[in-house]
Amino acid sequence: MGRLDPRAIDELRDLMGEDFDSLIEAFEVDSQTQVEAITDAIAQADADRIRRQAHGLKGACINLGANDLAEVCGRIEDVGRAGDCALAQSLLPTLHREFNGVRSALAELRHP
Amino acid sequence: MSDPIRVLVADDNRTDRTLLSKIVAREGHEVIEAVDGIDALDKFASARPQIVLLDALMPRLDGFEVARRIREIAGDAFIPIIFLTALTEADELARCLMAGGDDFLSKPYNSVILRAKITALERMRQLHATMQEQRDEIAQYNARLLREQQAAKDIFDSVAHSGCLAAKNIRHLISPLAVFNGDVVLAARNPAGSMYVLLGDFTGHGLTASIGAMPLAEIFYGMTQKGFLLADVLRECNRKLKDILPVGYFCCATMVDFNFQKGTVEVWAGGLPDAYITRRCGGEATPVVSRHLPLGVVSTQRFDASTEVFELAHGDRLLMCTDGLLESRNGAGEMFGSDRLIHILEHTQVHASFETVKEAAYAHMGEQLREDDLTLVEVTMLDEQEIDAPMPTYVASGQIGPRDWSLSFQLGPSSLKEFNPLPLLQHVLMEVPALRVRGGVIFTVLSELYTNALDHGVMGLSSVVKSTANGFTDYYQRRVAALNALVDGFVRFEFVSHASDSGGYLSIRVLDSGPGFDVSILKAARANMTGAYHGRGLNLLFQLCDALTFHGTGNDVEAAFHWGEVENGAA
Repeated sequence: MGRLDPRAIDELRDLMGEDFDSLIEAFEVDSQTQVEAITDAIAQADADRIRRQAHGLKGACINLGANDLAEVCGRIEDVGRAGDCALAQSLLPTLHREFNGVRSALAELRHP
Repeated sequence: MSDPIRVLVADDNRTDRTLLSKIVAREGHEVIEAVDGIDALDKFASARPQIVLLDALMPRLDGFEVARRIREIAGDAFIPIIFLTALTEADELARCLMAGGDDFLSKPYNSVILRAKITALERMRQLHATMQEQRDEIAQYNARLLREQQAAKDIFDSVAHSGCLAAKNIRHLISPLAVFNGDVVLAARNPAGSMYVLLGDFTGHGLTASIGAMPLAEIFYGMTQKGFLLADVLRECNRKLKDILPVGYFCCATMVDFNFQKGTVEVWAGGLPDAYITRRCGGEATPVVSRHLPLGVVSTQRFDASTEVFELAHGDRLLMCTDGLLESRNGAGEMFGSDRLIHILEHTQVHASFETVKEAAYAHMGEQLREDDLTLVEVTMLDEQEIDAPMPTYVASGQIGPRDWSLSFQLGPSSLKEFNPLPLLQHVLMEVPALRVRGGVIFTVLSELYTNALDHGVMGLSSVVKSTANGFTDYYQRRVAALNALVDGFVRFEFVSHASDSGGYLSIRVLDSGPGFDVSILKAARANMTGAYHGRGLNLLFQLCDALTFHGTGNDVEAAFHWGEVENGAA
């Protein structure tokens, strides 16, 4: 649960009601796709795509209270904007590590 | 919670979109979702949402471009656009607003903040919509007002600046805004060939000022062409305006009768600035001063229709203006004033004075010209043959008219003082179709015979006075005094007319109670062809009638007219 802001999660649960689980599911599916897209863009050294994908994932992470993952995405977005693909490459392990952490935390949320 | 509205949520990120839609829906609003920029435009066009929530970075078409196109599609309508953003840099946020956003919402989404923003923007949208409606209403109202004003102006101009204003002896300048300042210029000839001109300035502003022009013009033209005297026309105009105009509304006016045969102008002036007589030979301009209250102020009993008569030589002019000229101001607020006008009139060739006054007025007003309120009329004394304005035409009330008739009509002293019989008698005569083509001639003969019978017969005035300097003015003063003092006497008209399909005749006999005159002198003068009998307009009468006969002592005159084949032979 350390990867997610518990206060944000409470608010979301309150707001979404019975749709909470489907929101989490949507995030799980889409964020998986976005992490793959970032990884692919870094492999292709496509700086603009790096920036855009990282920006998109960052927004969703902020809304979900996945603040550490959002912070990594923000750094990758900045690096992408600067066009430094090598630096982006170096941030990939951190991205994956944080992402896996968030995923486990979400799974725990759904199946406590 | 604000009233439910339709909200478009456009975001390619499903998590964010789902979350935001939920927040909006929980506020009771209807949500339309779009998954990218193109989809957002499609949904906007089909669903017509009242507020748009737009992600800045979207595939296919980014939020900035979507905002621009929504503004295009919406046209005049105000559609609030809120940008959704994880952006944090100030210049990125500024860019959202520059691109047409009205506000932005940062992540993480906060339902309290979003509700406040939607409420505020919806209030703005409604305010804008109300403003647009009112603007459209005002525009429509304004357009209708302008159409009505144009129609009113067209009618007013055709009524209020009509008659024989195009005659060569008239020059005039009428403000294009006359319909709003109530300036009226009327001109027409009467059956005797005189020209009546009326310059009027209704008080007040706006269309109210011009409404009185309609009856004024109708009375002026109707009575002038029937041969009524200036005083008769004025009395009737005053009565009508007094009846119809609200208290405080009236018409300052100057009315003149240009008699080209006698070379005189008879003037009634009520309330307008001084008019000026300028002489062809130069010299001082003679002011013609207002001596009466404006038309429509006093009751008929108190109305004073007395006039002044001035003699004009060929080429002399009368200039009339409304106060718009004298009160027009230059940039420094200084009025044009009568001194400036008199100076121009006395230092300009008479034929150029009208144009000079006009140009001086324009130059004086300069930039203020838009407020122009100038109405000027100049009338020149010419010989009657030079006047190109048409004489009144007579319209038949019946096709055949009376064929065999006679009429005797006698006026005693009270009637002679107060009543002008000529329009009535002319009206009877014009029922005879064959006489209509000679309407002007017959009216002139009728009025000459009547004037001779009344002035020289009944009142015994000598016509010799007329030939001295200021003769006419003296003569008219004596005439007014004699009329006031009249206690007995009469003038009698006797008409006999007979007509057939092939021709006919009219005999007009005018008898008076005076002693007559020595007809033998007249007969001798005619026999010698010297034309040396003077005054009574007899030369003119001999020219106009088919026959003119003096009976008895000369206080019984008969004028005869023939047409076609004469059956019974008139006198």
